Amino acid sequence: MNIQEKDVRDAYDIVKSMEEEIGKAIIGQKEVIRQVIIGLLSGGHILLEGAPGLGKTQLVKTLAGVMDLSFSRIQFTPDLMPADVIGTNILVKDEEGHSTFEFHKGPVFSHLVLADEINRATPKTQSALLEAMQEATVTAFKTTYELPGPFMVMATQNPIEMEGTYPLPEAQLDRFLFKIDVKFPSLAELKGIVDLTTSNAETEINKIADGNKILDMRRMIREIPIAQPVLSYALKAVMYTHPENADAPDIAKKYIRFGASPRAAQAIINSAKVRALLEGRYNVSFEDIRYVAYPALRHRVFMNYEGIAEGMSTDMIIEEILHRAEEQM
Amino acid sequence: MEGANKDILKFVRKVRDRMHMTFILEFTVKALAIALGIYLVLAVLSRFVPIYNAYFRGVVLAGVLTTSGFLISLFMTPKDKSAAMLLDSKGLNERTLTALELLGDSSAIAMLQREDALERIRELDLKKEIKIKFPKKLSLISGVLALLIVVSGFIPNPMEDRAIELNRVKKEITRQQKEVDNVISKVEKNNKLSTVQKKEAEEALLELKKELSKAQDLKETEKALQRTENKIDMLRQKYTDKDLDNIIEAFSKNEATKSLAEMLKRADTAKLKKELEKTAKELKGLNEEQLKELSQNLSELAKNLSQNPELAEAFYELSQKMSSGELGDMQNEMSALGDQISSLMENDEFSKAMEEVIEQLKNSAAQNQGQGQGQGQGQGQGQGQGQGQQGVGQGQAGGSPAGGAGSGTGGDSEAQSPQGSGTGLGNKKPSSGDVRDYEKVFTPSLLGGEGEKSQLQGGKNNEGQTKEYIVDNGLGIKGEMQPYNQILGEYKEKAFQSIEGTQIPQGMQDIVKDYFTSLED
Repeated sequence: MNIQEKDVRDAYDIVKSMEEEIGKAIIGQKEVIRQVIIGLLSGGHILLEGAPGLGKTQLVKTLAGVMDLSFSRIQFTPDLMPADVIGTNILVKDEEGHSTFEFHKGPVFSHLVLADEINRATPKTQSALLEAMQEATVTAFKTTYELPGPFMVMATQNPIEMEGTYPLPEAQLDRFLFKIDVKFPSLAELKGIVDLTTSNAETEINKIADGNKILDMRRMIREIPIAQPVLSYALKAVMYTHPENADAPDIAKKYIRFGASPRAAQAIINSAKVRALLEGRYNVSFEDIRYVAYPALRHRVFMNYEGIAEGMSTDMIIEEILHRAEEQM
Repeated sequence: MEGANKDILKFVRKVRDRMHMTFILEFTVKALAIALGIYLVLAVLSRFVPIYNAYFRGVVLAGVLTTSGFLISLFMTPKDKSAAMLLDSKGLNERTLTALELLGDSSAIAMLQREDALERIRELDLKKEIKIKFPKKLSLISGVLALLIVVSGFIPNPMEDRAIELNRVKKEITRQQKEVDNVISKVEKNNKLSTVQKKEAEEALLELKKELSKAQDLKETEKALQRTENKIDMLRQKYTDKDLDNIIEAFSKNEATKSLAEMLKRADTAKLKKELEKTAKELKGLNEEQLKELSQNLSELAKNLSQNPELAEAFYELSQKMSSGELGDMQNEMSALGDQISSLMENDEFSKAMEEVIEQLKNSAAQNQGQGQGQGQGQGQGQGQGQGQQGVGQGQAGGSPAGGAGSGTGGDSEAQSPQGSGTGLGNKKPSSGDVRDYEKVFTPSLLGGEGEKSQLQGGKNNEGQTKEYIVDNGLGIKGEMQPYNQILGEYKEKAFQSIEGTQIPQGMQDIVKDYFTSLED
């Protein structure tokens, strides 16, 4: 791909504009917004985890508003069925009165899909998204349908109301590029939220980019070079999530049950490239890897009972892993 | 593109050179600090353990280590990659590292990346950002260590003398080992010795070398040398045949065989047989009386050749022929006699070679004593007693290994000046000045032989009469209590001589010899 400096600058400007536009509707949460944009440009799906009322759904809706893309929202509930997600065949009569089955596309056939409170649906329904998230296709009644590109699932889940929920299986989690923790806003941010939402002021969101632009940017970003030591650092970080690895830090050996899959390495490299672009660079740095390692590994590192019992967090373990990878440089 | 690549490399190399300079300084000073640390340890250790020339060695060590550190650091040039990483650590976020990897890559993104990297690098003041650091901390440590070393040099070292002594011992042992090597090589080159003889001599010498390497002081080396001398002497004696001397003596008695005796003295094996043939012819010209006399001599000789029964038999048969006057063809007898005597002479060669070895070992020991403490002395003791009419004169003299004369003073109240002669016994071996207490044993003054006469002179006063007694073999003390180490050598020698002249089985002789040798250990 022949990249011109202008293309890169345009992409940079687009991303900056997107951040600004989203920032109009979402007060604070700068890092969350940035990580969501990184996820979007990396071609991955994002799992947003946070307490209710932190603006998760609003963020996704705003993102859809900023881009000229189709958007659908699925509220996951225990009685939600796979057909409610991917669609189903329904019997219709043609003009001659013959009855035929016609596939009625579900909400998944959109560019941006918000899977709200995804852990409230049964694993059966959750699994309906697996093929869509990995292959960007849906197979129903022996027919495979392609999803529109760019396709992105943004799921949310609430970590505190666990009763009546179905934790996402490992295979499902691995399909998410990032798991982003949505933190409670600061006092100033909270004031801004209150000011914005308790007045009649309306926020106008401008559309910044369409689907094709996003796809072009994705292709261009993949061209960004990464130096061997930086690549090696990222790969080591993934390797050290495996407790059986001799060089893994003690904390990983002690508290990790399963380490990250190769998808984690892909996720880190792809997203680090986007982050480099967002920083106005044409190369990936160690800092980029460090930045994306947390959201990319957080949901791929599975702690054992000992780790959970001792109140360890995956972020603490990832920090140690990154330290070890640095030492081994 | 070419220019950008070169610029990237130029900046990276600049950083690399600065890194290298810092590394050289740090590595060299680190080596110096380590060397001074070791130096200090050596200096402190030399107060408790005898280390010869500890300070000089420390200086050499420090010099070598520091120079090595400097030289090693010269060749340990940092890699471009390390330089790029250092540059990136100044806020370039791996731009240089990536650009370095993309050198020569003509893709659009690579060119963009390179330009971006160059732009950012140019913004940096390399001299300010990447300084050539002098290792102040290490230099300070080195300075403190150096100061401590200097201070330690002013503290008296109780081990210094001991260290010097040990070094001297070490050198002496090395010298002696070289001498032993020299002797071994001489033994090896000696064509007159058989393989077995060489092997036996070499074994003894190698054993000496081994003992020398284990020796802790000069005394031990002396003992080792003495033991080896004894071993070599025993070897010599093993192969020495006194029968040859007997034959020479017997041949010298008769005019007809005198030239043969000379030949044997010269050990000229090649001419021996011819001389024998010539003598056989001359025998025919002798008269009956001469033949009888010769026959008697040879018969007596045959009796004395106890160690060589075959030779004895050959002489006996020859004497019988002479006494009977049947001097027909004596070629066979002379030929047999020639072979037997040649064999004896070969043993004599070994004896001579071993005597040389002993001589060399003695020289080595003598040098050891001479170079050693400067205290090695030949010390003799002479005792004599003169008896006047009523007075007794007694004197002692030291110095001559052969014993000496003593001077006496008259103790008589009537002022008679006594004058007498005395005998003295000189110890053969010089004392090494050792102060060790050995058990004392009674030593007869005239052990195994006659004492020598010595004059005992007393001063003469004006009163009284003077009488003179000439005493053979001394009067008075016939022996005294002496540390056994002083007389052991003499006793041993006498014992060896004694068993030589006695018909004792070789095994028993060895036991006696071993016993005396072991006493010296």
